[in-house]
Amino acid sequence: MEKFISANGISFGYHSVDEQDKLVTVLDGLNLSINKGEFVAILGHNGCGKSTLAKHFNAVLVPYKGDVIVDGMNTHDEEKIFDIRESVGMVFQNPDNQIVATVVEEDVAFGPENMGIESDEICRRVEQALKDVDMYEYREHAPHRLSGGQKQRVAIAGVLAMRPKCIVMDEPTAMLDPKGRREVMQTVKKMNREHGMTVVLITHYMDEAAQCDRVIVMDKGEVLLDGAPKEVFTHVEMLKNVGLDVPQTTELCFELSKAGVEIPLDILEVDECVDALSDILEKKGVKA
Amino acid sequence: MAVIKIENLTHVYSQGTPFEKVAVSNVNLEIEQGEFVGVIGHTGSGKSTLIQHINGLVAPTSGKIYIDGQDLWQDKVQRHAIRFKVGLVFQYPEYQLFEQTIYDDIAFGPKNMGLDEQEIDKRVRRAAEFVGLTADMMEKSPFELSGGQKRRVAIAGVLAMEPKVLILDEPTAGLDPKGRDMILGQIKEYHETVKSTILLVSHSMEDVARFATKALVMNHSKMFMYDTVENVFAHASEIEKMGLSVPQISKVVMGLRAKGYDIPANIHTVEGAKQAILKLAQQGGMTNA
Repeated sequence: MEKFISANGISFGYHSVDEQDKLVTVLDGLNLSINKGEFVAILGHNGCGKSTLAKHFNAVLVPYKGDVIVDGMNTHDEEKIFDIRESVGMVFQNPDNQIVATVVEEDVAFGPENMGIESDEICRRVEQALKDVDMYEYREHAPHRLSGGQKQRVAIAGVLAMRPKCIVMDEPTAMLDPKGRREVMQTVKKMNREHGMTVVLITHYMDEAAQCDRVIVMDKGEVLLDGAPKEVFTHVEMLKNVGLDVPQTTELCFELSKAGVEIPLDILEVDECVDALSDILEKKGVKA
Repeated sequence: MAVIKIENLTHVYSQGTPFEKVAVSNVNLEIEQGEFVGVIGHTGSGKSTLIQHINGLVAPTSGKIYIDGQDLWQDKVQRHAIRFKVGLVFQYPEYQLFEQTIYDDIAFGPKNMGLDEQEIDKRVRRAAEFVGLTADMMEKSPFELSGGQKRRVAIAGVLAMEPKVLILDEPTAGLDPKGRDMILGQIKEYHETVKSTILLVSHSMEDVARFATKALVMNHSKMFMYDTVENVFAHASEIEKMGLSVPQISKVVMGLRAKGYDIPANIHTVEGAKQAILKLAQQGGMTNA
């Protein structure tokens, strides 16, 4: 598979404010690659370095040591910074911090305008982007009057209108209600499945991670686990030790197996769980 | 007596303008002292507007709010005192920290209440302990802390006022699962120790199932239900239609029931489901649903 982003032995730290500028290491020689068209979730507790890593993916941050290569471009190469940022768009947690204009369609147009795209094309892109996130009917509304989920979809449209090859989302659903979360996940999945867009999703919701192709778990600036959701979530105890969680279905199976019930540990979905449980109950002679 | 009583409450934003919007429509509600209420509803359902009425941040367009039997809008002097009975922790409260030390930040509320130094000190230390802030941290700047710690300082600032009613608007948004469990555990402990009334606004049905005893459901500016968590989640299909969800584990239980297994419908936590399934398995072929 073709690599889209690769981080090769990257280290990064922040200077501490109080302790004489002491360097606090956040990423320590991390290696990671993300393939073209992949839908990857990054999990980790607060402070594990996942947002810092995400900011390396479009050159908001550059590593002290090592290289990040995005679509063949090194983020250390200052001449490529704009190209890198056009190819990787970012969406952050709080939609209020990302909206700049007073009308939805103007906000979505902000990115492409800055790229120097001609106005007819901008109109087409804004229309398409707003339709992709199902916010077209709100194009003339004021963003501050929208709900959180709607605002976040406008923020996503603003990124889509720049037509990036990859979209990096840092907890885009943290502030949303269940419906808003479903809408954002559907939008992102559609961009990935239908348009082949590479998606990196940072999240604290295990059910969202379960919907991705691949899950990367970070701890202390390093990659702890990396694999398909079914593999990663079988490590229930390891995940809990690093302050994470597993979907409730996986936890139930894990707890039952601890209590001596023979049940597969890689169950993520409700239907799967119901089937596995009814198999077991049937074997035990419990009649339905 | 109900600590919160709401009568025919309606709130209309921007009345008389083209942006007129009914945010809360004819809500009647009584919450008993000591309840732990999960407040759920889609964004824009009116739940934030509703809770802002409870400590008088917004005035009703029509209807009445009684706290501890007192009409909140009867007179201005009284309103000031009633407000201290209802503590409100906003979303992302860490952005509201402003003092030079953690101690001063937590002490800000009690100071405004006009308490004496000794009482303030006692309350600040007690509140800090509830949220797991150690004594050696008190003289630090709140801006040196991590996001999760800052949020705990902000929550402590409200706890220190020792309100009879504590309202938290999504206190765990953006926290990792461990941070989430820690804050909710601390709120639960506070609730059990102080016996205050808690209203927890949450988008996580799993958290509501684990921590709350009652659930209040808002839908399109109306109150859909106020009942026990079990009774509310029993309306799974209606809840899902409102853009909400039920805990994943409740869906597993419903799936098993749909297959005909004799498992109680009122199970909404992993622990509860585990026990019920083990019990069912032990009974072997003896049960017939």
